[in-house]
Amino acid sequence: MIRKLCFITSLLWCTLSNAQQESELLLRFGMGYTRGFQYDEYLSDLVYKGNYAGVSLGVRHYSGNWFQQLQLGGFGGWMSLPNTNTSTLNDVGGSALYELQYQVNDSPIWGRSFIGVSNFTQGGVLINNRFGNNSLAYSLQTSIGIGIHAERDFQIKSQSFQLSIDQHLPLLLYGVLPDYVPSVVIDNTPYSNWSFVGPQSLWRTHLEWEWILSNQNRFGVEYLFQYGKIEGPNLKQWVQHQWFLTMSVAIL
Amino acid sequence: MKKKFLLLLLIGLLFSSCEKILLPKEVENAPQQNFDLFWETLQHKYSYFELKNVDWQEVYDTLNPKITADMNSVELFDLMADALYLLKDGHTNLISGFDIGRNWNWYLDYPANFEWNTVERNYLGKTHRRTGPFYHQRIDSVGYIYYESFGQAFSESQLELVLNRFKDDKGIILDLRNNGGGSLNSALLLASKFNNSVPVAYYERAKQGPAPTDFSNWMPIALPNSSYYYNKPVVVLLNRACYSATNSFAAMVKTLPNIILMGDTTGGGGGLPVYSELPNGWTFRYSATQSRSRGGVDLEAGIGPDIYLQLDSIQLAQGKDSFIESAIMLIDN
Repeated sequence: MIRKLCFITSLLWCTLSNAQQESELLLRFGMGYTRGFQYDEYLSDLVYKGNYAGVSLGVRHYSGNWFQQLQLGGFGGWMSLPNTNTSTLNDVGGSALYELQYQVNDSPIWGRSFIGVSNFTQGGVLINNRFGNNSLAYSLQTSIGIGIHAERDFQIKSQSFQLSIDQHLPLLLYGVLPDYVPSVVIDNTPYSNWSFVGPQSLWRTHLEWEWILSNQNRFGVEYLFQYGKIEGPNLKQWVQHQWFLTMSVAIL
Repeated sequence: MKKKFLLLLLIGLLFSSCEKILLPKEVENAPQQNFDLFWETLQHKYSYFELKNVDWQEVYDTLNPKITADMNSVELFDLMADALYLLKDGHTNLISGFDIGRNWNWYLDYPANFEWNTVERNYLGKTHRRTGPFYHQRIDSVGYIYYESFGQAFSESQLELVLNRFKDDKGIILDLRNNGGGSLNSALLLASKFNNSVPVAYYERAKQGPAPTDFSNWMPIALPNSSYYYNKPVVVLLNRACYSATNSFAAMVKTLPNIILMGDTTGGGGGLPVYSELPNGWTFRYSATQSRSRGGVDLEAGIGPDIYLQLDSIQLAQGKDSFIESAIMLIDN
């Protein structure tokens, strides 16, 4: 299954890359700060707050009316009890976003808009060092849904800038969590389930302002909002706000 | 252009505090909220209310009126510790910076049946070997192994090295007195060396939801396969302070052909302990699963010995441990 997906993805990528149309390929790097909130009944009924460092790496490709991007991210940091500010939890994780979209609008006022499919995956491990058998609360979630991307170029004092918004709207999701309580007998076999949006959610909203240099390389600032929910044996919900500085290198 | 930029900025600001809408409301750090959260977590996840014959709602109804907004931390702690005390569960504790709420009557109400100085000076002696966590010595033609905690890990090769030392002796005494438990994996590994006949160590069922009856089916825990089998008689010495993984080990090896359990009933501890925490930073742990032996005995009640003994105080005064003496005699005969 994974092989097939990889093959189809690479085929699409090559096809789009070879299209005899206007093409742009950007290699993107980002790093910055993330503010996170987690609620996981596997650990407790408290909302933990934390500060993370994060990095991202990705490629963004325009080819004629097609737009696709792959974005990988990683984060790591500490979370604390809500009232004590004692950092007792470590949180590490990563995410992957893939979008394939078609341009549906190009107006001088609203800029270019794309719509298509997107896949967003996020996983993480929350470790409470003060706990024993249930010290490790993990989660993995992947979602397939609608991807929307809109961008608008503009000039300020003869410098080129671009504002963009990128939205992943999940439809079908798959989530993995630990079971209700840890157990020896089932060897902590995780709970996993497919569902439509509702019992699960994996929302991603991305806003970015980029300064486009004359060689088409870019520097930018981005804000990323992510929200996840799995109504498994224990409810898990999390919110992340990311503020990153980004750099994009035009290689096509 | 400015309008669009402001619109994007506004969207960003809107998202920036939406965790307050999306996530459950924060629990206030006040005595009532701490008590309620503590009570509710146990109500949903504690596994032994029925066996302990504790009406948890009645506990709430009794203690809740005593909660006041101005009570201090020690008063609140004592009240919550009183609730846990009723569960008579060594895996259930309230842990603050200044105290640990506990009920350790499962061994404090019983004879100790163990005197380390006597064991160390008169049986292990100065020449005993220490392989990993195992203290071992040959006493006449019987091997003696003392293992003080399943929390002290050992490798399979260390274990086989110790057992091989006594392969030509008449048998071994495995002294687990005062072993309060630790890793179940270590207990399974140790038990596997004395077993070539049963595939199941014991049975467990896990809590699967907040209702009192939300349990999985009883599922077997397999004894790991081992190519090594110690086929001589083994006497396992137990007392009330044998708890948790040690208690499980006793259940695993009880009824195995070459094994004799000798001493007192173990302390229990059949539920896997898990943790949670409160807004004030206190943690608490509780039993979240149930387990029972191959014979259907709930491990929380402890495992009875095949030969019941109490430590002979007269022999002890003479520097002799009547458990070890009886075990040597049993193996000799």
